[in-house]
Amino acid sequence: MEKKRLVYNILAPIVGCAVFIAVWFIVAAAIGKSIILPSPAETLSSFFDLLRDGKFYLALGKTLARTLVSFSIAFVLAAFFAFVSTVSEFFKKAFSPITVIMRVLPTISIILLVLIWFKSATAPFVITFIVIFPMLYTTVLNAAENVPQELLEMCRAYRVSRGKRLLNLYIPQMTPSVLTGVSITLSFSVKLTVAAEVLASTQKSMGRYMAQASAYVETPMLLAWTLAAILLGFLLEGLVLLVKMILARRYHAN
Amino acid sequence: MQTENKTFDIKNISVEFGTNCVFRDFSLALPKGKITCVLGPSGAGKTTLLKVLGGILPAKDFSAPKCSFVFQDHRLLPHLTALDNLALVLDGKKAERRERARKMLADMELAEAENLFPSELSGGMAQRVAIARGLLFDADLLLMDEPFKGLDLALQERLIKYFIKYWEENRRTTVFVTHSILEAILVADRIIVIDGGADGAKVLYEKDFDLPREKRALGQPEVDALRKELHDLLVTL
Repeated sequence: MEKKRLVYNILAPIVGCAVFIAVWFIVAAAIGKSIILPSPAETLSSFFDLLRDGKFYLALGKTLARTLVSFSIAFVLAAFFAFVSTVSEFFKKAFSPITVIMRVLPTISIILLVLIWFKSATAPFVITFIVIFPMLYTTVLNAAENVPQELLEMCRAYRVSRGKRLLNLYIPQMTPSVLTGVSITLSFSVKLTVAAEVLASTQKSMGRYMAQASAYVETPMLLAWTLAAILLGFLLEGLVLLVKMILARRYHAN
Repeated sequence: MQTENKTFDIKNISVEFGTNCVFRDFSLALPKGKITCVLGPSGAGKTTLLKVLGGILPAKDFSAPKCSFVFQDHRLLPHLTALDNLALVLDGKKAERRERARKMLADMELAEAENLFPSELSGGMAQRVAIARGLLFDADLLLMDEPFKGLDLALQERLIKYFIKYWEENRRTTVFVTHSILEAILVADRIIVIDGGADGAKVLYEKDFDLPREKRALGQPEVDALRKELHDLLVTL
């Protein structure tokens, strides 16, 4: 059983990665022009060059900070509005057109409009916020609405206070699905922030360096920055997964 | 309003779901310190009655008394231990609440369940913890909605004896809804039968049953007679 789990959980993803890198290697060798498609080795070498460069860490830190700040603001506001929506049916109905519009708005329209209205330093925050807010709002609202009705009835019958309900029923019941939503939204936020930085040409950002690499057709460098963005997304998803595991143990998930 | 303090009076309950009238000015006098069993066909309004009494379902001009509620399923919070599930329904400082809950579990021979989560308890044990919660909560009424349904017969019988044993200690005024005639006969001091109608549910039958509970068993003439009487009435509904 343990062996089977090892095969599925560790070996299978390694095989997947190996096949991907092999195909990349073959295609790159067949093309033979690193300006079009650099080999995995060239990309890795550019990535290590980046790691030795101070500007990489500054850009990474700033992009991460932008992502986390816009994500945190969106999460706090989404949780607040979702809470109000669970308490007031009127508010929920009144708020739904706004979230629907925000959800269906083409991301590119949001980016282009925000670029007109805001400075290049602020634009990535606003764009990330506008796109992920409705996603987080829906995640939290669905989680709150999926708290079992029968447990709420029990709390009502025994006159359990709102504070105790929040701590002992809502938070433990909602945490797993909210964290799943958070992990998806967080890595999506990295992508959005980087895309916004590219288009806004935000100073000292991963996006700006990617745009530069693209302009100078430094394809290995562009892929190296891309690799850094992927690793950042993985890191954030991994952290959320870790928090989820710790909370699952704490709340005795069953 | 109480009649000579011998009954707990429920007055003028009215509940409508859309155009469907479940109760219209429904009143009931529950003998204090006794168990009233409510029988009736499905859809008669038995569970709705309990939900109204328990404040889960609002009814026009009716202010729900403070009630304990033992549901068909245990409804223990999955993230809390048995001890914390009991402490949850109490007021006061955490340490004091947990101490009272601990004592209750010990009194009800559930000390070994104290630190177990609902998923670690057997169905019967989880329901015993739910009964302990109902008896611990300081309320005017104890409401029980088919609390032994879905359990195997042997377990059902054990749980009924168990419930009666602890109920006898402070004889809370109880409304016990069931589909099982035999369960009602084993538990009740008074049995009522209700049935729904266009004008809302009505009490069709009401009878006190004074035979000591330890004597109640199939084959006992009074039990068999009452069983037949109730059966003959319920099959017509």
